[in-house]
Order: sequence, then structure tokens, then C-alpha cells
Amino acid sequence: MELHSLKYEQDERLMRCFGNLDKAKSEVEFAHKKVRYFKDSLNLNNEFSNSAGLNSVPISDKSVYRKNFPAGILSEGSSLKDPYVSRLQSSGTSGERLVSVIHSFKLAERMANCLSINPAFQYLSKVPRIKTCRYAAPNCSDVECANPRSTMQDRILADGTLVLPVYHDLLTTPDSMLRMAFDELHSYEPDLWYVDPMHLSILIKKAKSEGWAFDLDRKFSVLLTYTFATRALLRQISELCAGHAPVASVMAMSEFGFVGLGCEHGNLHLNDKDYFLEFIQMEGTHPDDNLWELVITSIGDRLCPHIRYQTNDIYHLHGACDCGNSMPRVSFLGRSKDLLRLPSGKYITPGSLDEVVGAPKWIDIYQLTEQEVGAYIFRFTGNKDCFSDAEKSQLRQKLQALLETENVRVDDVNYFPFERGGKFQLIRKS
Amino acid sequence: MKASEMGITEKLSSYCQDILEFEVDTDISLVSQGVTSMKLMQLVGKIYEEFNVIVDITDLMEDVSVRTLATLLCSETSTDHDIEQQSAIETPLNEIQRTFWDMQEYSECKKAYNEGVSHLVCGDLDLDLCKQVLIRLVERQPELRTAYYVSEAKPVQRVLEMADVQDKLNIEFADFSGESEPMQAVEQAHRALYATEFDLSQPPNFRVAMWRVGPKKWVVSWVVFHIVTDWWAVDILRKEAALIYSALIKQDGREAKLSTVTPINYNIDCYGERERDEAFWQSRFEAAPAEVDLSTSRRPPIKSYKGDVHLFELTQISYADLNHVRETLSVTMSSFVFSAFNILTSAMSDETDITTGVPFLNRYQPEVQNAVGIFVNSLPIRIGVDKNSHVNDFVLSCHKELLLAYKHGRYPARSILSFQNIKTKLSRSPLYEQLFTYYDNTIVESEYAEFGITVKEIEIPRGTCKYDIAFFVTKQGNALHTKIEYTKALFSEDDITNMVNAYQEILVRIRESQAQPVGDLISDIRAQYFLNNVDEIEHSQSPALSVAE
Repeated sequence: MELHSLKYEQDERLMRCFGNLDKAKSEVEFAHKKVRYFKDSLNLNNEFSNSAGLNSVPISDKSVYRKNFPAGILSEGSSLKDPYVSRLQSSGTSGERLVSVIHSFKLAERMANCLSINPAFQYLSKVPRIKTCRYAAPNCSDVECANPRSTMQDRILADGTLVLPVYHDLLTTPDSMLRMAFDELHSYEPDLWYVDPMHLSILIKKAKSEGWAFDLDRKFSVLLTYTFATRALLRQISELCAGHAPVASVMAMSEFGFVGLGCEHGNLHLNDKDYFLEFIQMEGTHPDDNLWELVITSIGDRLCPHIRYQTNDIYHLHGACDCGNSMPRVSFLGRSKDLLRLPSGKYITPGSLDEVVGAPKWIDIYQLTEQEVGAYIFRFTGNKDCFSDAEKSQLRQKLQALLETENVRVDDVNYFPFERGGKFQLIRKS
Repeated sequence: MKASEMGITEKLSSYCQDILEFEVDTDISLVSQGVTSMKLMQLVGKIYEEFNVIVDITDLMEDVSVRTLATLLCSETSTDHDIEQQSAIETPLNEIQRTFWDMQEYSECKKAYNEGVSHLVCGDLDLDLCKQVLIRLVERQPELRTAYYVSEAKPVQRVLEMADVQDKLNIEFADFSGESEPMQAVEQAHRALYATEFDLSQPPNFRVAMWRVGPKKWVVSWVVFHIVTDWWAVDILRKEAALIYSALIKQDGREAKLSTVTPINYNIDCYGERERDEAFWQSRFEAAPAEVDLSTSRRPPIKSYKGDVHLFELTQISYADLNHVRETLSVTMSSFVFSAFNILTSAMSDETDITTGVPFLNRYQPEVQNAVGIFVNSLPIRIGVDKNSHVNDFVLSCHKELLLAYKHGRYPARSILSFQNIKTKLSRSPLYEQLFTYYDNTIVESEYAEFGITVKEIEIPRGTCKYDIAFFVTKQGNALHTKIEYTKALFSEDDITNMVNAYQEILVRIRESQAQPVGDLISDIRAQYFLNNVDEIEHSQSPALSVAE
């Protein structure tokens, strides 16, 4: 079934758009009138007024918002000291950090609209004050999370979110900190576990090996974010939560807050009420490859509107979903920098790799490393008891077919390097 | 309840129904009716969308009802709110600011309009406190956190909130104490500091550097783009910094005694007597001013802003000597030394129509006396040198012309450029290429015995110059000093030394006789100093002071 969307071209690449174009145009006009950077850089001519999309408006990116922060990107008359202004830092500690500002009531509105995608999460909108525990790579701002001596109070953010302790290099987190995270996850009694699936899987594994029992009787739900949720990770989380707590992947960005949520069928839907979503066909791909880069325009943001903001996230677009939700159904395939391009021109995304790997019991975590063009190492760790040479050989053959080379090594390892900032790259180049 | 409040209550009730999906009691706390914080936030968002007002209910969360929301909303939309909104909005740049805004057209020019000051600080300086002092100063002085940018094709300014700039407030530290010649390293760093091209839309438009040059010895430099402030503010900042530093150490609350500085109303282009002032300046520039060339070197086709600076003490005269003469003539010291400068320029250029820039403070409003800001208006003082007149009459005529110019000094010099006959060129400024300034005891040397700190203002080359020549005469005790900033493309160091010697000679000759004809004095000086009379030049040279001195 085809989704209803606008279609046009940008630089000879196909585009698919979702959302309210009139509101998106109003957002652009507002930014042009009230935000200095856009005042200076936009030229809203007849082409803009008459066009059936936003393609006459230049695409903006992180650097625009970083360079012009705050005076150049805040709307006239607003200030960082205004009530309800939330400052969000991009996660991780590597590279240049981006500080985003959003009205907290916009965050609430976006969250509410996203939660409406999955009925299992709608009860959250009835919780008087949602208590959240975050378990993911620590941000610079809350670097106490990586400090084994920090207390729970040290790590409770202004909005009441408890950040659980963890090292940047997840797999080197000492046992004492894992125990601390486990205990706090219970003693804080959160309504919501807002977690990196990789982090949660490590905690689950540790709890299993140490005999720590999760209290699953209390009502809570699990939102997975930050890194790509592989089938292997989902399997582990599902084993713990099935029948106890709803689990879904959430698409969230520090620039916007909630952008999308997985529905009850496990399909990701992006919020086209609070955003105008443009999917631009990835450069050098055929429309049949179904690889699209997402560009977002905020709707109704009177503090710091985002205009055609390049997310660098790659998606597959799908037809309508059986859940009946009209928000566009997509699959997140990873960040554009995490993609591999084979000599044939074919792209390997974390999504396409994960489809091949699947969720065998003997794989908990894996990573594909491109040593050089045409030479790859697939490293994995998992339950050695479930391991069989035949399955390993089968996987190798599938990977060879995917990667279009014979030169694929499959290694059982105990450790994976994380990025300095604490993020895990499913596909990396050595 | 007012009718407007009733209407708002009705609207809010309907929003509640949309968001909460049930009808609420307008007088009962929304939370007690089962409204969650997320829903309340959505309601705040809806109110913002509809009324463009952010209703802050952070402290009332549990108790807020539709009725209280309506009351809050009514009070937020009142006049006070309008005033607050107004203060946060942008205002157009005035003509004086536009002068500096226009400098951006040419990057070399823009860099030349970086102003600042350096001090040698000796003693136990607490660097953390210095950072706090900087933050307090920026907090106090709105101009230090103002952004300048184009809005709807017009240059405008907007004072940012402290929170918007605080993260960018830094003191740049470097340790040159290990260098064999620390002051040389400082000079290099200082030139680099002045080569900063500020992005005016991203305050702060200044930099502060602290260079360690020895044990307990620092050079502290502040550079700022001229659009932010004039020289007057250096004294303000210096005094405030000392007071805040002291208050922070003693924790005695003395800082509270500083008067509040409010954002400046720069709308001084429109004032009652502008037309009268315009008529004055029209009368002075009915004909275009003569192009005065003080150098015989070929002028570059595009004005150069690369410059240097030299300091001299005028050893053959004292302040007391000149003060006696100027009292006899009933003129101010600034008029007196300015007259001598006109004789000098006439002798150097062989020109009798001399226009010189003279900075005029232009701080009329009492509330701006303690404010950092740009008010200074460099007035083009046009002097017709009557060679037949006697020196005393000439000095008096210069004095009168200066007073008249000051009387009409609010008229922005930039507006004079729009007079019909004033032509612009790439090679020179349209009105004048020499600037003259007299300062009375501006060199600062202070001792703060309680903290064991001494502060001395020092001069370090910037590598730039705005005019062909900027000629400063300063009184330091009973001595007179000169500081000459000059364009390197037009003058050598020897030229400048020669020029200062000629100036000193003029002052000496005036001291001796005020009855001599101006023409004779000009001819003598020209012959003696500017017609290749090398022997005599060498004979009468003043010793140049080094930078360290």
C-alpha cells in the first residue's frame, strides 16, 4: 500500500514529504522574519510561495545551529533565560557538541504525539509526573555518570531524570557500577526506562550471570534509543520484558526531542504532526534501493525553529502499517556516516547487515569492521553454549554474499571498542 | 472579573477540553482533576501558540486552575510585559555606530578599528577572580553583550541576555615568562589580538588576554571593536574592575554601590537642534576640503591600515611653560596644542586649508556617564591658515573654531559625508587623514597596596593605524608626551621623529613669541624640517622612547 505523500525532486534526487506543508511554510516564514540566521540566509521569493514543497529553501545542518548559537538561531525577543527553555546537549563526548534549546512544552507536545503511536505507551500520558531512568553513554554535562563515586542525587537532572552510572567504554564498566545501576533502576522506581539497547543488554546479561532478579511486577515501560537496536539486542530485551513491560524503539534527537516511536507491530512511525518530514533519495542510489535521508522542519517552534534540518539519518520508507496509524512507517537504517559503500556501488547499512545476521542465540553483540575495501571482520560475542560451527559458517556465507567478497572473517571475541564518546558503531572502518 | 479575563477563561476551557478530552472545572486545581504534568505542559504550549505568551506555572503546578491561568495570562499581556518585550527587541544603529558598522566592508579597515588598552600588572593576581570580574562587568554593561546584525536590510543591535553570552566569556592566558624576551612575545601576541575580525552578530565583540611575563608579572590586554565603545569606557571599566575585584576579595558588598547601567537609548540622531547643527557643518563644508598630504611618499591606491606607533617625550618644553602661554592667550590647553598641530600640518603639506579630525566626547545624557558605549564623534575641524595673521590670533581662531565645532558636536560626522560636494576615494578618507587628540593625565599607574598589586597602563604596538597620522599629546605630570600612530606605507620611523621634533620646535617658538606672523613660522619650520635639511634634523632630534619605557 502506498503512503500519501508529496513527491518532487531536489537536485535531481527524488523526495518524499510528509506533514502539513502550509504549516512548514509558515515555519520558514517565521524563521525568515524572526531568526537572524534565516533572515540573512533565506531569500523567500515567488518560487517559495508557489512551490509544492520546500525545495527552494536551503538545507541547514548542525554546523549552522552550532555556529550561530545562541543569538543567531533564537527568535527575536526570546532568551535562554525564558521560562521552560530546555537546553539539550548532543550525546557522547566526541567531536563538537551541539547545544539545542527547546521549550519544554514543545517537548511535551512532541512526546505526547509520539506516544499516541503505540497504545501500550499511552498510559504514560496519564502518569502525573513521569519518572525516567536513563541508561546510555554519558553526556559531558552529566559526566558524573562515569564517576564510580557519584551518588544518585548527583545524577538526577533538572527534569527529574535519573542518569544511571556507566563508563564511556561500556564494556569496561566495573562490576560495582553495574550493580549500582541495577540497584538504582529499582530504588528510583521509574515509570520509564529510557535506554540504549546495548547498555540494557549488558545489564541484563550481568544480572543473569550474578543472579540479580529484576523486579518486573511494577508498571514501567522501556524505550530504546541512542544506538541501532539490532535483532540480537531486541531478543535479549524481549526475553526479559515480554509480558511485563512494553518495549519500543523511539527515534529521538537532542535537537527535537521525540521524533518517532515503534508501534505495537514493532514498526517505526515518524511524527508528521510536529514536523514536516522530507526524505531525500540518497545520492548515488536507485529509487528501488529505498534509501532516504531525513530532513526535518519543525512546526510551531517559536524559540528555535529548525528549517530543513539535515539529520544524517538513513531510512527505508514502507507502505501503510497494519496498526492503522497514518504517520509514515519507516525503518531506521543508521547514520549516513555508518554506511559502507561496496566497490559495486551498493550501500551496506546497519539495517541491511542486521537483516542478514538476525538474532541467533549465540550472538548478543556484533560489529562489522572494514579492514580495507573488500576485506571484513565480523566480530561477535554471545552465549558460547549455543554456538555451532555450522551456523557460524552459514553466517559467513551470508555475509560474503552481502559484502560481495570472499574475504570475510568471523571471530568470537570478548571486547568491542566503543567510540570515545561512548557510542557503539555497528559498522566501522579500521 | 474583567470581560477580557472572562473571554480568556472560556478559551482556556476549550483548549483544556481539546487536550485533556474532558470538561474541567475552571475553579479547581487541574492537577487535582487528574491533569498530568505532560498535559499541563501541552496546555502551556497551546497558550503560547494562541496568545504568544509563555505562562510560567512552574511554582504553581499543583494549584493551577483554568481561572488562575486566565489571571496570569491577563497580567502577562499587560503593559509591563510589552515593555519587557520592547527592551528585548532590536533597535537600529545610529549614525555614529553606522560609521563603525561600515568598516566591515573592508577587512583591513575593520581590524584597524579594533581599540583597546594594555596594562602591566605586578603582584599576586588571582586569575579566577579576574574571570569573575569579567563576568560581572559584562553583566553590568549591556553594551558588552550586544549583537549587531542586519535585519530587514538595516543594521540593528540587540542586547543579549547574560545567559546567551556567558559561555563565551574567556580570558586568554599565555605564559611568556620562560621566553628570553617576554615583551617581544607579548608584542607579537598583541598584534595578533588586534588582527581579530569580530563577527559582530556574535558577542562578545572583545577579547581579553593575560600574558605572564615574569614572576607575579602580567600584561593584561583588552581589545574591542570600536562599535561597542569609545575610549571613555576604558576608564569606566578600569574603575569598575578594580572595585569588583576588591569587593570579591573582601566580600564587603562594595560592588552594590555601582550605579545601575541600563541599555543605552542610541536614538541620538534625532535631537532638537539637529537642523541648526547641520547648517553649521554645511557652512564649514560648502566647498570640499583640501586633500592634505603630510607625506611626500606616493599614496597607495587603496588606503593602507598597516601602522606602527612611536612614543616621545617633548623634552624641550614643559607643561608649565605652555600653560603660562595659554593662560595669557585665554585658550584651553587642548586648543593651544591643536593650533600648533595645524601649523605643523601646514608646514608639512604646504597647504592652508587644513581639516583635522578631533574626537568629541558627545556624552550628553547623565545616565550614560558610567556606561560602556559608543558616543565619541570625531569632528572634522577645518582651519584656514592665514599666513598673515599673528600666532596669537591664529591660536585664538583655532580655539574659537573648536568651541563652535563642539557646540555643534552632536551632529554625526558620518552625515557630513553625505553633503553633496564630499567625494569618497579608495585611497583616503573623504574629510581628513590626520587625527589630533589632547589628553590630560590619562596614563594610569595605580597601586592597590591591600592586595599587593600595581597596575600601569602601557603602550604596545597594534600593527594598525586608522589615519595617515594619529597624533596624541598627553600631559604626564609636568611633562608633555606624544604618541604617534602612523601609516607605514607613508612614513618611516625617521619621518615621525622629524615630525615630532618639528612640532616641539613650533611649541618652543610660540612659547618664545606669539607676535610672529604664522606664515614666517610655517616657512621656517618647513625649511628646517621638511625640505631635506638633514643636518639640522639630526641636530635637534628628541630621543624616542622604547615600548618598554
